[in-house]
Amino acid sequence: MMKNKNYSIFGRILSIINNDYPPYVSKNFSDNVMKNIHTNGYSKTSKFKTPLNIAASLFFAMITTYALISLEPIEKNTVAQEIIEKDNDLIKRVIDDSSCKELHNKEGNPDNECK
Amino acid sequence: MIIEEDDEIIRQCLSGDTDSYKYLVQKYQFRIINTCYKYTKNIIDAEDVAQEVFLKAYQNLSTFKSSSKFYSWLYRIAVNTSLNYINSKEKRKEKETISEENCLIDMNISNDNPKDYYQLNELVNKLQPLMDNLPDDLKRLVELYEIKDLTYDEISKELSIPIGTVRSRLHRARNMLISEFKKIDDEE
Repeated sequence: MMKNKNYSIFGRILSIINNDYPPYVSKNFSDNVMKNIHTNGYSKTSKFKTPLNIAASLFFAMITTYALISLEPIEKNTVAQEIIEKDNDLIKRVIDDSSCKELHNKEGNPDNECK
Repeated sequence: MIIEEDDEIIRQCLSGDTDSYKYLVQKYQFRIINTCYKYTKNIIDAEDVAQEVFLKAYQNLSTFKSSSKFYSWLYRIAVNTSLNYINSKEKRKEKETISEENCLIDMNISNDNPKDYYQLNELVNKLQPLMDNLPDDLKRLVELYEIKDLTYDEISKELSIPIGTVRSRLHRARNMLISEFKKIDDEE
């Protein structure tokens, strides 16, 4: 408080000896400036800034890890399903192939599409 | 120490002590508001523009080069901000109307709430004797550093004394002025 007073006094001395002073200055001018600095988030002091950043980083790292771990079985399932689908294709082909054979046996001429 | 050097305060601000910035605001508010007042022609607008000046300076504090004086840097920001303010006002084509309105506001300020405002013109006659009572070497230093705006290095060369001596004598002069000022200023 005392220190504040000294700067304000010295400010007035400086402006008077330089003949550089306005008619009036609000006594709460410096408080308003500081309030603006704090409310607009310009403050570099934010005591919780660094710990908050660290906590946020850790939080997102944990979420990412959890998401990666929980996604893994789903991927496995997808691969398994693909294989089954391929198998189904093979089965279909076999069926198609046999029907061609049947046609071949009946008509004696092999169909070009069955080749 | 009653008054710390600007460089020291800036270092404190940059290392995270935002509240130290208030010392710079208190030290230079009167001169910066007056600089803005020369452009805006009314004290309410001048305080608004000056507030913007101190915010801009705070935001760009890391770009300030300690080789120059903080006030010179702040003064340049004040002039640019005031010019921007005038230009934006001209664009709105309200210049004359607003000035007339605010001249009336200026006149009312002193009458309505005199305790909420510093009125420096009342102190002018009281301060001169304080300067006159300073020892000649200290008075010369105050003139060179605070009025002619020379740096420590320039004063050291001009007076052929070490920079450390310039600093310590200026420090003594400031303390003497502040102590004497407290005695005459019944507002504080």
